[in-house]
Amino acid sequence: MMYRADADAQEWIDRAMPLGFTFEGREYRGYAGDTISSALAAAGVPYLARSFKYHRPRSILSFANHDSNNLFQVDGVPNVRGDVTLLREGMRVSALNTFGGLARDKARVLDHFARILPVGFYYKAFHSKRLFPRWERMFRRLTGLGEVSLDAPRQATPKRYGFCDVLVIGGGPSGLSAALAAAASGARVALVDESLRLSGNGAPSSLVRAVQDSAGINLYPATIAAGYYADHWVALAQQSYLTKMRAGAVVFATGVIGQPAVFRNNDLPGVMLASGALRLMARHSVAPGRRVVMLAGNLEAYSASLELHARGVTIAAIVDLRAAPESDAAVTDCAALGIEVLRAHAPYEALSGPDGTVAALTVAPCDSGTQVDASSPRRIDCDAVLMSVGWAAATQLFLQAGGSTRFSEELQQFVPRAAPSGIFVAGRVNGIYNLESRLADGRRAGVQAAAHAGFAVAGSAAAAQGTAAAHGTATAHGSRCPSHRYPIVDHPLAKNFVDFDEDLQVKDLENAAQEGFDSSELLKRYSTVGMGPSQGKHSNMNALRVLARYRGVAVEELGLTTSRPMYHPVPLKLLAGRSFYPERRTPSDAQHAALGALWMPAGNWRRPEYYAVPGESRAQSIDAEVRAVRSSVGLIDVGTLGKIEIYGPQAAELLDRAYAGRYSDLKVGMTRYGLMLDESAVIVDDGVIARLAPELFYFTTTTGGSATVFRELLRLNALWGLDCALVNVTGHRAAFNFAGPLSREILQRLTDIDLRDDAFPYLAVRSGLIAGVVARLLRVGFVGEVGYEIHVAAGSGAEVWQALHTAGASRGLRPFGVEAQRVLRLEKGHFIVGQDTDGLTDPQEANAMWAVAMKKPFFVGQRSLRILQAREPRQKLVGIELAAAAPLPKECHLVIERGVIAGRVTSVAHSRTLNKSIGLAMLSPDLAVVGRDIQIRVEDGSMLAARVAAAPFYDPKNLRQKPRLSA
Amino acid sequence: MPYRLLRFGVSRKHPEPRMFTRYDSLKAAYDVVIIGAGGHGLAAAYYLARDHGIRNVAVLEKGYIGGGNTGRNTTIIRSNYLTPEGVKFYDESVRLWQDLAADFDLNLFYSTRGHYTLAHTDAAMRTMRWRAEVNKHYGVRSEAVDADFVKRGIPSIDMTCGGHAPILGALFHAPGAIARHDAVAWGYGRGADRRGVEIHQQTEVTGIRLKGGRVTGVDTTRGHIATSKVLCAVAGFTPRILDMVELHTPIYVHPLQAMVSEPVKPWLDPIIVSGSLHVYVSQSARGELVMGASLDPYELHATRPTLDFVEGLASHMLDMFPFLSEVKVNRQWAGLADMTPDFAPIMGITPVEGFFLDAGWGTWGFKATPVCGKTMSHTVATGRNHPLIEGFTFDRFARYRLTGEKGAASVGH
Amino acid sequence: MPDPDTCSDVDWSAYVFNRSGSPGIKYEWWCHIASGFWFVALRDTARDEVLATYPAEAVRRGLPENAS
Repeated sequence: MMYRADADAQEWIDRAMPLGFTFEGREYRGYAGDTISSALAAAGVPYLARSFKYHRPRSILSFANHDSNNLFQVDGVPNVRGDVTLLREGMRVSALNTFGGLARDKARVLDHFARILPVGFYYKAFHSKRLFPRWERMFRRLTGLGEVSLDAPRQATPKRYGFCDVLVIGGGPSGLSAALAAAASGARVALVDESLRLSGNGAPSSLVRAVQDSAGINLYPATIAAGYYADHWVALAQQSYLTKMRAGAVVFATGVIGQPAVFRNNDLPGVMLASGALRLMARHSVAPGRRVVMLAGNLEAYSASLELHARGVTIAAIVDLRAAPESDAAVTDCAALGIEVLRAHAPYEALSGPDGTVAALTVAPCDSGTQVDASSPRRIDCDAVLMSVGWAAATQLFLQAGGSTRFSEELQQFVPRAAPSGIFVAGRVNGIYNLESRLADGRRAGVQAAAHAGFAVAGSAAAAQGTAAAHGTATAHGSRCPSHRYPIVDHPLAKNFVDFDEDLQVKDLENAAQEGFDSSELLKRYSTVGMGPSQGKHSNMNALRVLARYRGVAVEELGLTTSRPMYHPVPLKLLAGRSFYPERRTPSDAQHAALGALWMPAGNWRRPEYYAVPGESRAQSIDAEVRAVRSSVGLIDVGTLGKIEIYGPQAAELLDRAYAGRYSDLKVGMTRYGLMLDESAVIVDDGVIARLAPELFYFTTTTGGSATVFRELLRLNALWGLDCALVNVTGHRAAFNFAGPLSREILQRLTDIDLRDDAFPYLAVRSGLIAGVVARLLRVGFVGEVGYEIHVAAGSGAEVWQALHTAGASRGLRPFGVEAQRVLRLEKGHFIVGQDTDGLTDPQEANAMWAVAMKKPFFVGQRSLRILQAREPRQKLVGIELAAAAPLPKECHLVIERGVIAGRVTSVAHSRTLNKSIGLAMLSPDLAVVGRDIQIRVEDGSMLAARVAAAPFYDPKNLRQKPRLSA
Repeated sequence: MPYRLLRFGVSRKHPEPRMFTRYDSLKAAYDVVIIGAGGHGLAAAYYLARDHGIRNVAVLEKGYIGGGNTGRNTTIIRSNYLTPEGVKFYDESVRLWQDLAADFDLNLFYSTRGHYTLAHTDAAMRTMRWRAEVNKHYGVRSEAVDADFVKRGIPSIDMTCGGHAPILGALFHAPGAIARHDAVAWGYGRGADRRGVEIHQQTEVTGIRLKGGRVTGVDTTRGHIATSKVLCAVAGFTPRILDMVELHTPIYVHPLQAMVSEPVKPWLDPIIVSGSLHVYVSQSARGELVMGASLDPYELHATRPTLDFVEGLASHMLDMFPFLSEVKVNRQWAGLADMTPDFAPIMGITPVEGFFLDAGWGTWGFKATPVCGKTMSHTVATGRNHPLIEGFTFDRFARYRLTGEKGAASVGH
Repeated sequence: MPDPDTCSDVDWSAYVFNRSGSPGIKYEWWCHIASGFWFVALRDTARDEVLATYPAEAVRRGLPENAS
């Protein structure tokens, strides 16, 4: 049973500040500075959680977030790491994934079924087609850990960009000394450590202070280096924000991770890593028990025993797996204290007491391969078993950085083999355990990293040595072996756990290998070893040992599985940050809003879909907008169109090559439609191209295409090296279309430009003043009436809109939105790129060959179009008509001919102007004949009759643009 | 508890044989050599042995079984495609999926969950309707549904997506499913193995020998094999194999990344895709949220993960599901996607006699695993393209007869 | 680009659609989006390492032949 030990000067808790909290509904007290796990342990709670698969009681194992034993639901937040989450007043803490509470968890019955739930059992049953859904519901009830609260708020966290010359990851002795050495070289250093406090992890306190006092070192305590990305770009996850750190060089001083011994019932509460017990005692003054058994596979077991003994803990015995411990002061000191040491003994089975925690350990003699003679095991009563049998190098980030490792038989751990440029490794992860050597290794790595970042200290011995050493890896380690070769003990009744996250026993791994999953990657995928929340930190090494023994090969032959971010799991909120979405608004946006605009997205802009008028339905408003354009005047904001200027002697040449039409013969003061193809002759964009001067063109693109069209034109211009330049003025200019039979008359009062037909004919472009503002006017016919596209500087956009709106108000003007414009252009039979065309439509299919100048020497798409012209098109875009009374099909409803798909409706609307329903359809060529009857199938499967019709539907001869009809 | 698990309780030794035989050496010759022991290659081997009686087959794998895109995808199975070619092909695949577990006697966790492709713009809504209508025409259950339907089906979703991208509706595809990806490769592998097919892992193809435009053999890191038929099913490694036979295709390779959260109690039943937000997500049988997004923006032949990817995906996830702010990302990874310009695969015979291609799977090869096995085994056995793959032929680019699947692929999963 | 006026349809379709999809050291067009500046990068597509960059004019002058 764990308990709070007497106060210690170095402890992190503040005994003057008690904090109240609840666990599983009961009230407890801890202290400020406690973590959830330490407070519960200090309170004597026998076990804190249930395991994932068998629902066995579990408590602290690593006390370092290297296992998922101690995940909790805290105040509605799932999967909170109890080991490393500070206690707060009033916290409501509960265990995860229990059915009826931690103590009474109904699912604990699963522990008794373990024998018939072998590795991969779920692949071997439950798959009857009829019953699977039922089984699956059961699995989904049992699975998962914490519960998300569906009403939890979105948390927008900030992000920071960090820059440093040398990033040191790990605040132990080697990391601290690396940071100090790099800073001494003049480098700006960032030091990252995941502990709640920078305590040095055994480093001399003078070193910790020197680092804290160094002006050249930025400290990032309580920070997780979550992932290494290309070019020394490291994600640093802090409590409430993410720092994206760009480093000149990185030192991985990531240390080693304590590994459990594997023996029957090694998961009982009270069986824990000695390294975890030391952390608990040193930081929180929580003792692992009153009478503990220490399992030894290395020297650290002895020093840990001494430390605990000094804090009043009785060491019942040290059970050393080896025939003889090292000769070291710690070993003799233990003997001097009268602690019994059992050599060449292994734990055979942990036994639980009435409260479910460990009450005794049976031990038995063993050989060097940990084969035990279980004929007469000895029982040692205890209330805790501590394991100090080995370490796994924390190479995850180093591997992510592209480093490679080898397995050192001598050290029984993976050590770096080769490091990429700018990557350095120091300390225990480098296989160096002696404190003095770790400090020296850190200095070496720090100096080398600083030199890599451009801060070489002339004549430095360390730097010189660094050039000789293979990219910062070092081999100078002591004589002792910190990790046992095989700290794994078989037991006929199993329950000897390798992976605590996933409840995997030795036999599970062996059985998986027997079934053919006998490489490290396949073993992981089949058994799920290392796939739990702790990502194999406490389990991968032992799993490899089990597999290596099973296959009779060396661990080195198996190798590690791939390491990927995250090193520790990172909340979505930190990665998401604030979710910044820029939305573009035109200069007259506020006026649209005031007029009742309902918005729709268009690219990254918002545009009025229509303007809602009180008392009118949506359809009525859109109808009225259409009617205004046809009968008086309408005003639409078209400022979202891409707007590009191109000037220079070869401006026309660029357009001739980039667009399908010809612009070199376009007269100054005139406009021409522009159709853009890709090299496979597919229509990708369109717009209107105006020639303002011999060497100056101004043209529009579609709203969605503006950025890509501009970028591609820049590329083509760079490729062809023509003497012209392009400017994207999309955001610089506002644009409105002022159209309708009254448009000329009303507009003339606002402008000094002569709007009479002979002075300003259809398709011309003129410059002048509108409402006192410099403007370009393009006379366009997109909606089928006399109309002027008015382009002004963005800063004057609101003013010009207002002037136009006011001028037309008494004459029946209505502002119109995208919906009305769609109807109007449809009446004119104009297609919309991307709606009436798709990703494979060429100009032949779209009936747009009139816009293509095939005789030009070259344009993008021309050669492919020649090929396509030689063959029958697959489909044709045609007009269609439906009776006025007929229900309206929807866009993308299919045309069916003798039970076969023969096309689709691409646009459709009811035209009040024409008193019928009209549309465009992409049809197979045999149907694309004017007068042909077709059948359109709508959602419910019924058929609507329609007829192929000639487009344009409205004013097919374009008489409305002719001078004699003008007002 | 099913009775069949009881035998594990009474048996002292684990009563399960190896799934895959370990062969010490390659034979001198095989009737067919399949490059790639992913789902596609193993499925082709399985059906060659089972349906065509061709058992003298070697499947060569440079890594381990199912270690490529089979084990890296987000396991979504659906047939709600846009083109008739696509719909018919994937519909056959979905049909095969239903009985696969029984076929293999292996639980694939094939779980029909329903699949929503969200539409945030009226243009997207049009595409959804197009897909729905084509799907229904071929008897595939898809419907263009409105925002209310979405809200009822996914009550927890923020219908405004953080105010950035209001949901107007969706394409709802009831048969949309997920499955345990690795198990599919294992099932096909075990089935092929039991029928005499040899699976050779850690065996890399280094060259393909041709004589007079015909395949005569394959060079590997473990020696030469004589064969007259080679099937290439290597996803992102396709261009490297094509170089060996000097064939040129439009295939380009970009990484496709994904990430997974820690397990939480199941709260999300259907599969959700949003093209505008570049997200697809489902919750696995382990309780993990499996999340993906669009392709990396440029060519790369390495599976390195990027921070940009997780940042963007996390942000879009929280737009849809703001309450996941505290849920943690456990792991990210990547696969190599072999893309084509029309987002349709390249399958079947090639100008090199005896060289068969199953490639261009880009971002969606997993769901096609069974039907690819079926059609490619037919094509290899008969030397003629299976009717279902006629829209996906090698020569369609030279003929300017692309298959317009791109419209369905804003986020193609 | 093959000469569009003299090449065969098959050669042209190959130019339009086919590409060298294998990893290697390749010339690629890259654009600095903020400034709209296009340049050519010589990049190892196996390792994502940019080995050299050139202004667009270099394409017209002829790039060194060290790409695969």
